[in-house]
Amino acid sequence: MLKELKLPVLRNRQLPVLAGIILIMIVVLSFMSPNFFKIQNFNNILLKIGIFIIIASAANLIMITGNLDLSVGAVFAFSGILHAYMSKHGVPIAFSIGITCLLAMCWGLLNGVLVGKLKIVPVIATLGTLYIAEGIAFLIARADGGSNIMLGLPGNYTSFGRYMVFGKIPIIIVFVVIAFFLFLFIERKTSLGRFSYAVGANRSAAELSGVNVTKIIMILYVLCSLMAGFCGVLQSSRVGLAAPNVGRMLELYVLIVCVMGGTRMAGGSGTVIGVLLGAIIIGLLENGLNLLGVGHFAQEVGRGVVLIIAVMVQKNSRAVRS
Amino acid sequence: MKKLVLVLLIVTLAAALPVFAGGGRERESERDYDFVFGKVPYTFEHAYHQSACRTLEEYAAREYNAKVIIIDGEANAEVTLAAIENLIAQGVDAMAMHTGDAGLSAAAVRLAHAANIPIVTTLIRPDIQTAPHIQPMETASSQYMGAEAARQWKAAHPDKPIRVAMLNFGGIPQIWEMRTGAFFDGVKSVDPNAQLVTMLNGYGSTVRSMEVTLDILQANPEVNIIFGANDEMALGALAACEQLGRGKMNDGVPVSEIIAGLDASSAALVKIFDPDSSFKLTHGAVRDVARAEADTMYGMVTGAIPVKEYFETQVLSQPIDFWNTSLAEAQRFLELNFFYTGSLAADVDAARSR
Amino acid sequence: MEDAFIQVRDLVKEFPGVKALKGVSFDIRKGSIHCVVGENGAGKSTFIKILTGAYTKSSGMITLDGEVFEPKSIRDAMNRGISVLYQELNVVDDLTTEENLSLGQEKSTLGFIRKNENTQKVMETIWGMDQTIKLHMPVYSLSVAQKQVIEIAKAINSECSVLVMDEPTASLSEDEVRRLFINIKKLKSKGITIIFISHKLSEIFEIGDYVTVFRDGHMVGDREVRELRASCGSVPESCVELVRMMIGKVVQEEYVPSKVDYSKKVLEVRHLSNRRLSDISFDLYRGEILGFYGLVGAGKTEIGRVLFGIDPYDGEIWVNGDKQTKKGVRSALKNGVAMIPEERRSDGIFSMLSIRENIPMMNIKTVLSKGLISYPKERKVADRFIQKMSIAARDREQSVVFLSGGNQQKVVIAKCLNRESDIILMDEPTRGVDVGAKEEIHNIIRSLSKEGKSVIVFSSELPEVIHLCDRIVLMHEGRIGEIMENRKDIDSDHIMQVIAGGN
Repeated sequence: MLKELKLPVLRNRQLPVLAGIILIMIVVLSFMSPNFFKIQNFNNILLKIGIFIIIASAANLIMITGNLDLSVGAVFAFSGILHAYMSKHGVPIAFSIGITCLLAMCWGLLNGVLVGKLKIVPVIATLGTLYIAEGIAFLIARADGGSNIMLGLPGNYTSFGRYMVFGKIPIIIVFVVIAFFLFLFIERKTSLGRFSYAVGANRSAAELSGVNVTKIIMILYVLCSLMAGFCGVLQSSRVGLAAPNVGRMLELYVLIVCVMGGTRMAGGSGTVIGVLLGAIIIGLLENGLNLLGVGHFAQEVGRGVVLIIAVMVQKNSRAVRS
Repeated sequence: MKKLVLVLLIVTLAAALPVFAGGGRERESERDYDFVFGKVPYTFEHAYHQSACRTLEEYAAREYNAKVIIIDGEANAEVTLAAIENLIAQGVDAMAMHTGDAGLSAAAVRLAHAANIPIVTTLIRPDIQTAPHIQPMETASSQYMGAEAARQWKAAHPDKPIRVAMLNFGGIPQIWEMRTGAFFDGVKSVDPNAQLVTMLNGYGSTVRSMEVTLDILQANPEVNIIFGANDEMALGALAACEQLGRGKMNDGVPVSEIIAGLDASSAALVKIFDPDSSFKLTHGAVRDVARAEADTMYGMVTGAIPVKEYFETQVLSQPIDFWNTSLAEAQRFLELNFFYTGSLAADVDAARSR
Repeated sequence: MEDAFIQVRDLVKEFPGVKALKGVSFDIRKGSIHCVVGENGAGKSTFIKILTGAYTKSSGMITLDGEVFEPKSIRDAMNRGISVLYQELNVVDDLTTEENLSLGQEKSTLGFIRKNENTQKVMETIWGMDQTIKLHMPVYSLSVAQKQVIEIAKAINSECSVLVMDEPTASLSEDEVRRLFINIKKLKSKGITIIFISHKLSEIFEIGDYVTVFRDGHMVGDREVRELRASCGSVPESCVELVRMMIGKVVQEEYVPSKVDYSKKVLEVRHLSNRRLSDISFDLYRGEILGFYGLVGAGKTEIGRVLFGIDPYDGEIWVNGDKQTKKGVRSALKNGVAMIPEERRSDGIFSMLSIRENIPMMNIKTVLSKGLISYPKERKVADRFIQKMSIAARDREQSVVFLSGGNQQKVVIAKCLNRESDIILMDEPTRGVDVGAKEEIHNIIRSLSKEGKSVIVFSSELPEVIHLCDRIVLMHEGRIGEIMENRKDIDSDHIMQVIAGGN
């Protein structure tokens, strides 16, 4: 099966380009900062982009169908707050995680119905969900009596997010690996994945081929919200606090990661491998700029420049292909 | 299907509205107020501003029989200006604003004065000095914190040179004067050889600060004093330290680093009074700032304070730290400033059991 | 012709691989209503696009009022006085009549839009045609005919000398058509030259002065309408004559009867009607190849769409003796009906995906093993069809977008065959396909019938239908004209009479 998963990668000419960019960044940063090329630092980078990778893996499939999910950040924040609120008020942690994930899926269902069934433009539909979910997150925080929930969380609240597998691998990294292979599997081996590409490549042809387009879109939105919600729980548990504003701009990062990874915004092509590489580029960039102590505004300039260069280089590689 | 979704959305809205209304306090609806004041806080997302607004509302109602209209500035220049315009349009008798941008403050002052509405600014001095201003004396308290942190570190580790890292907000110059720079001055007053290793933007957010601190400690593992320019950022720094196996103290004796914050919110004090946590110092003033705002607005409306002259009211920003503040004092501070109803000792114990 | 306003001489337009116009010459007189007819691909729309500046010609010459006319763009052609009334009307639904009139020609003073004095003039023209249209009415509240009036008025006021009307009657009621014709005659009396395109041939005899017939990129007939009618005797007879010109001499190809099992009715259609169809009834038997033939717009595609569950309908459809109650493509597929759509690019292929990924899309089960996609199975399925249908591709991983039209069509057919449906609808199965591929596709259809499947072919090519089908349903304007058995010596002249609306 591994052989089968590998095959399509070789056909894709954008992925080597991305890998090349990453290699160059690693070499340059190694020379510029003595603290860069260390296991602990790579650990830090993965921790930072772990959330992006998990959510973007799911959002990527939505983008492959030619749709978008802008509500991930709000669902992320909502889930963190909800989990914290329930844990604080006596719900056992494991239950609270379960309930939160279920409710997170409801946001996806809402998105799915709006976009898939009622055919509302995804940008608007998911923006609506964004506002509702974020608003409710703020209301929960307010109902708890503050701007965020930190005081009174049970002692074992952080033990999930800070758990070390085998005593040394942070649990987020384990989930990143699981999510990566899960979505690689969905993409390559399931009809859900295959139909996602079909919907993005030609929605009308997919419908005329008997693909249940509405169902596919709904499943993907639910899956994406589940990932966002689970990450919200994970993040909140890792930091030891839940704030309703943590998800701001997350949707943009997710979008950037997908586009950097070579996914067409109009749908039809893209892969979770690209998402992983795109996220690594973002992670290396932010980490490098911080390690070098670059000031805030200069960082913004750098971020913009690298983003544009990365997408341009990729675009050229695509043009060469056809 | 469409109908079902519509019904669901409306139900959600109907459910959310009472929660929203209940989230505030019960309104005393039919009360005759003598004055209407306006207030634009920096952002409602910070515990500090929520408490400040609540204090202002209660104090103004009690002392001056005044109603306060609060419009969130959402940490955004356009939103803040729109809020000011909104208050002007509502014809308030006077208004108070707290923002991070000196130029924006000046613009707001001009707008208000053009409409003949008295205005008072807080914390960040406007570019033009033509209106009364409330100034929490953060500089002195920040210096004190820096000096105390340096003393504690020197006492515990005389051999390890002091290396400071800071998390600030992006692009507010006065923060250097009142918080970050003053803190470092305090450190240097104890140890002239102390070095400021790095200062990065923590966006005022716990999560972002945690990530940035992970990078800072990767690049500069020798850092042993970290100052976050608000409590949220200090808590993020603490979370990062904890994940790297640091962030600990040995019953108040520094081990790996000392963390300082600012605002003195309950979330911070719970950590500060935990003898095993390395977050140990903060300072803040909510009640007195809010009261000064109300007093100044009342003074301007009644003519006791000139509307278009600079007049600075200084308010003590009370330092609170593990070594010099008693638990009882801290408990009292929280009650007076943050509407705290719990027991700090109990909360600390609960947090320690983690 | 001395009074020729537009002269077309040896006009040629080549696209990569295709010659759309192969040297066309004719004249259009000033102030006449000149009709242009021809089947799909005959070259008439290419001609219109060259005339209106959307395409540039490859060679040849057009003169307009004695001067050489080579428009660089649509705007350029408009400046020379050529306006087009497109089938898709060019009005903005959300604006009012007035705003639509001033669109694109706003004049402003200090940034404020001034009322256009021109608007008043256009409005007067509009009222000359239809008094019910008011300045402040939002355009979405108007009917198609009223929108047309607005467009015509705009064209007149831009001082056009030639107005091209592309199927203006396609979506009008009979009453509205009458009124349109009155307006067209008014325009004619003002000296405006009208180029009128329609698939409803009888209209030509009502309004046209001249008619030019296109076929396969050639001009095959250029007649005065009055004279044509006089020589044929009656309108239906003249229509048949036009159809003969449009279709040409039918090369009789060998018809080989299929082994139809007339005891097994697989599809029964009774009294099917909808917006475009009325009272359609027919049967389909096991192993039969049934052809639907008619001119463009006769309703062939519409029948296919109804049978495949895309469009709504009244009436009854029975598949294998079961009355169809559920609508939708998926239930049609479930009941064993599959379709190859007319528009290959927009409805058929997944151009970005590989051949391997395209083929199993209609029936993913054929490549699943234990619920998961099995690459060996997928490769096997792909290779089987590539070989069986001789799809010319580098390998099965090639993206379909890089294949030729014929090979793309084969992929679409393969995708459909992989569904293993008993009833297969094929809408224009060989359109835009080269001769070799066409013959191959015909052989595939025959082998399907040999396997006991039933095929319905919707085609606007008479030779194809005669070549392939066991029975032929002749369509005319949404109705069935006649259902005839195919014979070796079938009377193609009779077929033309039926589809032209004669008896």
